Amino acid sequence: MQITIHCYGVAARVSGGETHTLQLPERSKVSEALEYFGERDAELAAVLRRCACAIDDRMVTRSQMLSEDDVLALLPPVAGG
Amino acid sequence: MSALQEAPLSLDALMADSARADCGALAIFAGTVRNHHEGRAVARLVYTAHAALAAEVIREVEQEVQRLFPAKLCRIVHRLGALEIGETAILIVVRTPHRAEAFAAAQYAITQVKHRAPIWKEEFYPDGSSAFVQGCCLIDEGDAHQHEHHASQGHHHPGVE
Repeated sequence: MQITIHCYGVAARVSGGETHTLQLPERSKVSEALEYFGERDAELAAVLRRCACAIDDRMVTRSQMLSEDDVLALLPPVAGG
Repeated sequence: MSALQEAPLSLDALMADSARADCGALAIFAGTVRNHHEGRAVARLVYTAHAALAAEVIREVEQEVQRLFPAKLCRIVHRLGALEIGETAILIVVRTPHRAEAFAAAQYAITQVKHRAPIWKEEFYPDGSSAFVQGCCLIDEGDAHQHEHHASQGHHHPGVE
């Protein structure tokens, strides 16, 4: 199945862009998407370990099952204010 | 008023129709762009956000402040986009019956927004380089452990691109 990854903040910088496409086996979890995405680059893998995740404007855990065409938002540590 | 806005923040707009006859205290907090961070000169900032989630968190914090202190009114607005030194990044208005809870509520509100709202701050330096400010991790510890454990198992997926 295919999902879209939307990166924010430093995750966008180290991954080389805000939006990426991933091909994953059916019934993959968020943890598996992060694992595969992080194989591209060690710095990216380190950033992913500190990213929270959201799908459809809802926070999800790494055990969340993914579906075809999901958009997985990667939220690195925040620094508003 | 939207919780997030690209245009310069207006205290007058945030204060409009906020008066409460039963409140003797009004606390206003403004976070402004500083020209240095951890010993390094900063030329300007760019704020970005997951807009839907950040707005949701800010509304939650406003409601928490009204419930916990209690405050009769709490309004928060955060700026996004490119900001120059001295510009206002966040405004918080709190009205309470007495002064102690007004100060405490404003302090609570700014701390919670900094820790919980998915907003990112990219600092630009005089030499043209930039970096994202290291902030607060939104992931809970148990969830992070799960990722570590899973990754250590060495699963591999036939992904492309």
